[in-house]
Amino acid sequence: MEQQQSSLFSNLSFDGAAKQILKAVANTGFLWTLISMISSVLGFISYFVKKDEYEALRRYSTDSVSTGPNLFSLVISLGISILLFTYMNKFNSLTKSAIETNNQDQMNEGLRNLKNYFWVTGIILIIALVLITLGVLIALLAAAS
Amino acid sequence: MEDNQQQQEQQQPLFGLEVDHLSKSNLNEASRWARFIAITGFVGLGVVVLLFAIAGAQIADRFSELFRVDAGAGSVLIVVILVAIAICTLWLYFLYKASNLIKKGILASDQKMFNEGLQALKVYFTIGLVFGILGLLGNLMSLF
Repeated sequence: MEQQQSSLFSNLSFDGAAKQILKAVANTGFLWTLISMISSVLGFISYFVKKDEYEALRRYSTDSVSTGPNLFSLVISLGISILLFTYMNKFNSLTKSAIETNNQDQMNEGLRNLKNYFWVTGIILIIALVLITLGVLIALLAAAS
Repeated sequence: MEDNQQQQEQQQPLFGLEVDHLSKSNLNEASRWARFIAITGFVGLGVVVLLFAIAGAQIADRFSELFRVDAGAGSVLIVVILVAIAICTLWLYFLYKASNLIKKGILASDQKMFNEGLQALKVYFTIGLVFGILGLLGNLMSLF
């Protein structure tokens, strides 16, 4: 009942301007995640093309930064970019279709994918923060002992 | 077939697309996570700036060693990183602005505020797209 009332008296809508901006948001978000995914795939290819070079660097160098990327980080990066692209692709197609056909259900489904995109990004950020904190703690403990 | 069409017509709102209860819930949740990402990003960038303020000289020396360039180039690299931090701060500011305006727009049922929030989100994604293109070019260059 309360939900029905709030919907009935709410003057918030996806007006002409909101629709235009939302379309642009969906387009740029889609392109960004698509390009990030292609970039990750290229990084993956680059690793295998230059595998011998990186392995030689690892064998003779003590620097961790100058030895190039490792396979594990590339796989994780590719997985994340594919996941984010999936959500953004759904948000893009559903939102644009909802705007064109005035379909409320599609709009809600599109926005659910935008929510999932930010949720996944946030969770990845939390995991990264935990790993960084653990790394710093281990480094401090190693330095102390 | 006809039933399906009728059902679809019933699902369509009378006055176009509304920000209904479900849309509000999804947008609020997205705003909350966007705010978290922006604030965490600000803190992370702040920590990096603090590190540069405390140990700028040592970091410049280390950069020079790692990338096998002279000490002057290490300092230039630090300036480049600080500029990148400033751009990232601006980028996260738009995400923070978007999350705030969308949430406030929904709470106050303010169409102007809501649209400004979406506009800020568009700017955030556009800057992200530019970063994405630069990353792609970087990976392409590393291939050859």
